[in-house]
Amino acid sequence: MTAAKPGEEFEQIVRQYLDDIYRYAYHLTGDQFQAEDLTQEVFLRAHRKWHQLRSHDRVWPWLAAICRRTFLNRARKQAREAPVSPDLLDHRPAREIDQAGLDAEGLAQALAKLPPRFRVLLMMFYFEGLSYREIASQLGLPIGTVMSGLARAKTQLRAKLAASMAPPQPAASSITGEKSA
Amino acid sequence: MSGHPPSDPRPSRKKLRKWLEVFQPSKDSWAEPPFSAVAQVLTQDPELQKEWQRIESQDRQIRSIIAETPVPKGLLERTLARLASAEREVSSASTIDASRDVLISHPSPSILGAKWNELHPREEASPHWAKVETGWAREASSRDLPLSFTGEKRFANGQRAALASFLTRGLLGSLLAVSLIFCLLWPFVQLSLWHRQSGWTSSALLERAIVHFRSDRSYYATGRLVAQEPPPSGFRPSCRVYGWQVSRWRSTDLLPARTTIAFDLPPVRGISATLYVTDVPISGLPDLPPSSPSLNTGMCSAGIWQENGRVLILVVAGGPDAYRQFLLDAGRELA
Repeated sequence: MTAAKPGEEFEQIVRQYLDDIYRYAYHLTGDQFQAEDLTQEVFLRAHRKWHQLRSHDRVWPWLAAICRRTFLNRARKQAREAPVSPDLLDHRPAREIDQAGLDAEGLAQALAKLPPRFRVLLMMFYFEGLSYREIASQLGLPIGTVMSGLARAKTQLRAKLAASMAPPQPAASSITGEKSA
Repeated sequence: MSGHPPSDPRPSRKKLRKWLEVFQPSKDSWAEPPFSAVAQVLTQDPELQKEWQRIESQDRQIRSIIAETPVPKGLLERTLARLASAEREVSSASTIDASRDVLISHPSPSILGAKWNELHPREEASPHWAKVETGWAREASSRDLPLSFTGEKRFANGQRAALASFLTRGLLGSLLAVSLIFCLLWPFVQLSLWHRQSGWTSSALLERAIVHFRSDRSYYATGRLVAQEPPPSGFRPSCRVYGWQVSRWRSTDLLPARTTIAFDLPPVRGISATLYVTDVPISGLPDLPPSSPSLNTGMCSAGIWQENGRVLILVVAGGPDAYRQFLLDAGRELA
């Protein structure tokens, strides 16, 4: 029953990974307060299970996995997934996104409009830098499912970002740096 | 597309786009399937090439935005404080475990067995053993001998000895049973004493109240109507400090072996809150609700104070601003 007390070592881990876990949590939840709460819960859980970590070289993937699981558990309990509009299910060409309007808040808001499982896939791809094979392995899902889900999630995110931004000005540059037509 | 040989059918546009979307530049290789097929088409298809450049550029920008997301000030301190609070709670619990371990690890003849007997020879260690055995011996001899040989006097002596032996055995058996029950119940007694005396700190109580508040939402506003059934005496939210219109109350299991009444307060500007009133003794608490939350987890904020010998914990859904807003709108005076 006596939990491990990592003490200074764990405090060092908190200092090292707090910002990254907060960023992960912020883009999963889309809300600063929820992100802070999730961040604290991640470290509380990690603190309790610190003795279960086999290799201290793999702290970041371990913390990220705790963050994902905690978020999905909360999402399962609290919110129903937003219905996916049929027009977003096809694989359309990448849409232009206005670079000027895109910031962390806008991105988080766009992500928050996606179903939680899509947010997890996108964060594993963008923030953890995992390949679709690694994502499939970590989530225990078939490779084809992850591939389709990830492509769909990216298409939906692009659509949400484009919809949430102001109509592009003629002289405004796109995210690619090209001039809009 | 028409230039491809029939034996090497070109993947559909939809499939090519899907592969481009999932390509992770830092991990995947264009030389490996399925991306080798895309690479082959990319060299011949300027439109697809342009689309890939667009996807890659957008991905790079999204990665950069995520990596540079600002982190709120004080998050590190708040997280470390919450961890310290949790650690204190764990160490309090482990102190109880340790005392329980000490009890179990006390040397006991029954546990030590042969080793104990070796160290403490029977006749030296316990004269009671000898007395009991003498009693048994007398009882046995008196029973075995026929009355005609022992006579009335001997019979009376034998009966007295048997009675003494019976009483001695009964007494020892009772003592043993009482000791056994005491040993078994001692950890629970200690646990109960811990909860009743100095086991709870204000930070541990706040932590517990917030966890309870979060997990208790399904019971929100399901309590008994105050108008129909008043809460237990001494567990009323005092109107001296605030003017909330409390209409419902319910008993909760916030603290083991303690009475805790939860008052689900009507939401103020959409901010919901629950007031917990408990009888756990904690010293050094303010007499009015603190104007800023004593603990903030981002999702919930809580303040703790005491009134009329009761500890009151107000848990509000939301951050510090929501807590202050709730107090300002619902309260009269702040500490």
